Parts: sequence; C-alpha cells; structure tokens
Amino acid sequence: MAPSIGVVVFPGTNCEHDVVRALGLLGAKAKLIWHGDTDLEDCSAIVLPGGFAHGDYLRPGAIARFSNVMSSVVKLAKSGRPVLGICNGFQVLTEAGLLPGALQKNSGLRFICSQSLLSVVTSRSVVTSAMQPGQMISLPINHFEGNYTCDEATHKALLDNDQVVLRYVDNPNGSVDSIAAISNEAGNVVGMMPHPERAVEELVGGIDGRSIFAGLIESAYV
Amino acid sequence: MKYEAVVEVLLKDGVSDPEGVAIMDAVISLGYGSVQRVATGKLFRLHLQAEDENAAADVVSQIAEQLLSNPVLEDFRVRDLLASASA
Repeated sequence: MAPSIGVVVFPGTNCEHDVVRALGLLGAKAKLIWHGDTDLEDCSAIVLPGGFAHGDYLRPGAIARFSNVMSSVVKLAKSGRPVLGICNGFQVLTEAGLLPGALQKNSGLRFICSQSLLSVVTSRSVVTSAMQPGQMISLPINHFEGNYTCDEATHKALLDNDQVVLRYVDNPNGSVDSIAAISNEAGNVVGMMPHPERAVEELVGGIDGRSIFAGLIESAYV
Repeated sequence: MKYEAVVEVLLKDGVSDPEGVAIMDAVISLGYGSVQRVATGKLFRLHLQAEDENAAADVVSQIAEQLLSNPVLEDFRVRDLLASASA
C-alpha cells in the first residue's frame, strides 16, 4: 500500500499543494495536516513545505516551532520516521532543534529566485538514498534567508557524520561550505533550501525533484 | 511587583545584515560621510510581574535566550529593567 505522507500547513505556508501534487504523482498518499493538529499516527513521513510560516515573525521558523503539530513531528522524527523540511520548512527544523545551525540572510543581500545546480554529497539521507554521491541535479531556489550558517564544531560534526546532503555548485547565497541541504545524524531528518516540488514536470523546467520525493517515499515504506 | 524590561537583539559580527547595508548607503547619500557602519537589530519591551528585580531579570533572560534570539546568529542584552507603575 502506498505510504501516507503528512504535509504540514502553518498559517503562511504556501507550497503545500505543490508538495501534495508531487507526492501523488510519485505514488504516495499525501494529506494536508493543519499546524494545530497533533495526530500523526497514520503518517509514515512528514514534509514541512515552504512559505512564510506565521508570517516569518521574529525569525523564519521561530514561531512555527511552537505550533501544536511540532511536538508530534519531533516525536515522529525521534522514532526514525522520515521528515523533510523544504526552504521555510528547513528554517523551522533548525529553530525546532531537529537540525543544527541556522539560515541567515543571503550574503549577496538579495532575494534569490533562480535555478540552481546541486551536487549530491551522500546517499545516506532519506531523500538521496536512490542517488549517487557526485551526481548533479538542478532545482529551483527561492529565498532571502538561505545562507546556511553554523560554528566550526558543528561544521566538523556535519562532515564527520556524513550529514551534508546537497551542495550548491555555484554557492549563490554564501552558505558555509556551499551547503544546500543537511540531515540529522541518523539521516532521517533532512532540511533543504531548494524546492524539489517545483521540479517534477518537464513543462516547468525539469524533473530532478522527483528523485528527492521518490527517496522520501521509498524510506517511508520501511 | 510590576516590571518593564527592554531586550535588545543584535546580529553577531559577520552575520549578513542587508538592512544595515542599505541604511548605511542612505546615510552616505544624506551626506554623513563620517558614519562607517550601521547595524540593525530588534528591540522588545516586556511588561511582567515578578517577586523582585532578580526574578524579573531571570524570566526576561530566559525568554530572550529561548525565543527572542537565535544563539547561532544573534546576541541579546537586557538593556533596562525598571519597576513600572503601568505594567
């Protein structure tokens, strides 16, 4: 049976329908979960989509972290289930402490909306399990606060534990070590700034996003 | 006792501050060439009740640390803590 994947909607989230469509396209049963809900019992995996959760008030993700649903997301993540945060979802995961570091404003001082070439760093994460390290994929990015930042000790830990998932080929936002996506130590929680849900149809510029969701769905079966 | 606290949150050195850079450019356009840098930040005013000043300071620091600032990017400072009649 197709795995059921929950797509969390905070007030201000705006990429949820694209994610639901992408997951459906690849054979998963996706459903929207309102941020006030706490019941994730029948979810095999969770996606926190992009947007501006709670208006990005205070800092992106800072308020979303306190939404009711997040305690269930944390529990699900700790149980080893796949959790993917995309763009604003990545920011929520760092604020919630599920991923280390933070996303600061782009170093070029501009909002960036462009296609981005990425290199897959590891196949250990739940979204890159079907890809090879060194493989190149192209996904759109669309952010103002996408400049991944962490201290040296955290960066070393990310490298030592194989937690860097994707790197920008042409670091567009000043991220430490060109990091575009990281995972937690176990590899089941992934945060990425690029938008795979916007790259699932040739018509809109490519289908490299499909392999990200295919990986997520595959790991949701286990 | 009622207290009023002012918490200041500033970006750490080296953290990207596009608003500060844009304001700096405008300051130069205004003709103030002596200004070398503008840093932006946030200011929060909290009204609270506490047993005494120490208890109030503890609560405000905890809130600033856990919510008002992100330790990876920002530093905070409890700037003023005053007994308040209007809190």
